[in-house]
Amino acid sequence: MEENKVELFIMIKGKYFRNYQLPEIRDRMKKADASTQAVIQTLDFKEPTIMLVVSILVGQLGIDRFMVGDTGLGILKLITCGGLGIWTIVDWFLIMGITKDKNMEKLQPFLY
Amino acid sequence: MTTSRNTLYVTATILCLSGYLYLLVIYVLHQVYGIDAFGVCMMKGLTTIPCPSCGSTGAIFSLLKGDVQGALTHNPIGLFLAVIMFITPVWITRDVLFKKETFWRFYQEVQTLFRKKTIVAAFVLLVLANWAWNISKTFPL
Repeated sequence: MEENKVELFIMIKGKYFRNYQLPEIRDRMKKADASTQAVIQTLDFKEPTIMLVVSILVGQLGIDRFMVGDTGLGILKLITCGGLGIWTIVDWFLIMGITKDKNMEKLQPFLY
Repeated sequence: MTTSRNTLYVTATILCLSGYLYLLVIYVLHQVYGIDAFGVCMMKGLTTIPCPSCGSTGAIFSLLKGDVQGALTHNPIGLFLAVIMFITPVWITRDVLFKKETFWRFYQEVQTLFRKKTIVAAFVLLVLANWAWNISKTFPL
């Protein structure tokens, strides 16, 4: 994979991942072949800031959890009134990290 | 994968424990201090509109008295919740004791089930209908 493209990817999509994951993503992407590179470019990642807004607005209904793919926990959050309101508040702080982890989970099969 | 499994077990345990603690607090407040209303729902507190699961506490207490019909009128989600709260601790303890991961596998199966559009649509419709009923109970026409 061309070095410029990797740097561009890291620059544009860097905010979708945790900071400590970036060097590894950069290394792995440089080693990846052209077809993998093409697939990675088309991957659709979730924006952590948008998830935070969703979590603040409708987190009580578990919609943030549904959106990141934790359907089971989303249902639990919905039927427990957002975990008695406590889980809702906890998720305001966790959801950005969770989104970044889910993005990494999505990228991982193409890197290894 | 191990971390997600452990996260699920810890989350479910914390949820169940806080659920039982909450029920205990409500019960003590009712019995000792005679306080009935104890709203923890942020949505109801902020907007006065009840959330889809408001009324579950009442439903569980009705169920404990053996009044299933009363529980259903409070909120049917309460019944579902009561079943989950009863089964989950037993299931998790069994899994931990026998070093199995049946609960984790069941959770994953539920998640796979919810990838089907028809099931998601049915679930959303049910929740919305129940929510509309819940709102109509608070603000009768």
